[in-house]
Amino acid sequence: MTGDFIEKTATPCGHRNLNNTGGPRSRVRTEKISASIFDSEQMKLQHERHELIVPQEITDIEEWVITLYHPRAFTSWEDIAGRLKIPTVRMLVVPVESSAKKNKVSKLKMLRSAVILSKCNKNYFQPESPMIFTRSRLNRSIELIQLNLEQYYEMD
Amino acid sequence: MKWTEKQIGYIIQDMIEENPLACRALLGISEIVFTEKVPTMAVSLSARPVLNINPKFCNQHLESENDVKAVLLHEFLHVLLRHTEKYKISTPLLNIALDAIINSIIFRYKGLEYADFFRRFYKGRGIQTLLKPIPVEEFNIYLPTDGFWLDLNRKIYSGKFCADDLFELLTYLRKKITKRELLEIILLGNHDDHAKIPANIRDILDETLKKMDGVLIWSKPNLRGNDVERKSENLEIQKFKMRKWEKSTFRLLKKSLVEDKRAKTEMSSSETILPVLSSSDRRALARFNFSSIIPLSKTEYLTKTTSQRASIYLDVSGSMSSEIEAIVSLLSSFRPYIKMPLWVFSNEVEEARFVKGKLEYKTTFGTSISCVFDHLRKTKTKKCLIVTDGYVENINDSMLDNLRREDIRVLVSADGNPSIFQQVGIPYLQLEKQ
Repeated sequence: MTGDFIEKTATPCGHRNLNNTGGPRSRVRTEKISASIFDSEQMKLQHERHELIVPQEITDIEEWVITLYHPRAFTSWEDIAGRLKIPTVRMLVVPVESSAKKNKVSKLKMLRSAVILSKCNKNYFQPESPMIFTRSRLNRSIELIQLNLEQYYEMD
Repeated sequence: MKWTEKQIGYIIQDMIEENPLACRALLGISEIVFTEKVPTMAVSLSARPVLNINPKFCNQHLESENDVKAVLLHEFLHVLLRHTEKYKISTPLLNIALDAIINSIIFRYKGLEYADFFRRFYKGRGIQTLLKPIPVEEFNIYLPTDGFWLDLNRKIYSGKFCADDLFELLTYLRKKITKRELLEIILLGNHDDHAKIPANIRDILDETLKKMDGVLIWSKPNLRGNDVERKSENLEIQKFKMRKWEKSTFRLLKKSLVEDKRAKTEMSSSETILPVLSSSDRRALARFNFSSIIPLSKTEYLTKTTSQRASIYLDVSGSMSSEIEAIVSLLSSFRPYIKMPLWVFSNEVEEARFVKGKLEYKTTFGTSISCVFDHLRKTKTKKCLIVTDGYVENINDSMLDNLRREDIRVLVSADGNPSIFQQVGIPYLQLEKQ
């Protein structure tokens, strides 16, 4: 006579050999472990967050950025970059989740973000790099980070 | 979408910075002209290349920045793969074969991010389906009569065809293609300018092709776009390339080593052959088992030797700024072999120091290599290794007075140009593109 017993071999990870790992199956759990040095405030020597959305109808992005300033008072980008106190060191670009506050900040802050984002490539902000006003550069949410490498071994 | 010339200029600048498929070398020196003389976009290859852009085409068909980049990359690939030079007579079928292969390269390299434009631009059926990537789930919106073209499309966009094969196949299938179908197709880029490519541009294209190893485009037919699997593969490729860098650099560094009397003596193992059995030579032990004569066997012993180090001159001029970190991390892995101080040069030779894992140095951002040769003469350095991108002044014989060219070795960065050292017969090695 055969019983109703059916051996259950399926485990959360689908591998029968992992059943015998010291605990009942209900206690087996899977979790992802991740760590990032960018999450540590201790590691950041300097950091600032920038995000912007260029309205869809805008075709000349540079002109739009100038309108965020006083267009009549605009002299040159070098002059504006000096007034906005753009960081003078190279910083890392880390993509972050966008917040709901986008474009609800003051025009001056938007202008500063636009100037900084125009100087950021995929990975770095370079103070001396040219300003490139494209949607792919400006429509981003990023955090600029200058890492404090001397703190690295103190993280433990 | 209404595009301004300034905005397109910015998109091209962005693309040059991004440097997909190493297009910077050509696009970076091209003059941009907006004209309606070309139907879409075309590069005319004179001594200074001109990128002709039709603003009307842009306004009519290009909806996003990625569309502009896709068409630019399409045209760049025509130039890079020298289609106008290789195929002297262009026929509609050849043009379609070339465009289909280029679009498949763009799709496999950038995914739908760029290739979505081709899906919108080529709306037709039949042979036109070869010019755009079609996801399998969209196959059902096509007619059963398109089945053959869809099958061919799948093969092209998974990298199973090269341009010549496809052209041959399309010529064989000529009867299946109507004249109307061919006339409806708007071809992107330059298909008709068969002018000879100038020597300077030829060199640039050769260098660009050398830097492309086909990784992520030709080697993995099933992976598409920028998914996780592709990224992890990319990481492995980078690690592999870094190891290759280290290996090739060490080979060059070894040739520049000279005894450094100021450094501590080291114990190094040597071998000699003696008629004394040694436990380290197991072959000799085995031989002794069947022969009564004590065989000659290898014996290891330690000797004191003077350390060997290499004098290194690192170029820290402005042109090296994008590569300097990679080079410094490469050099730091060979720190025991580097004679301190490590010299850096821009317009002058200065000492550099490793402070807390970082290299500290002064730079004037200019580039001159003559100061290195002066320094070598002044310090009577026998051998040295110069690490530079090769963008320096012309080297003449008087600059190398009292120096043996074969004792100077140059490590040229991946984005650098070694031609100046080639001309004067200084041995060099160029790092591969990462």
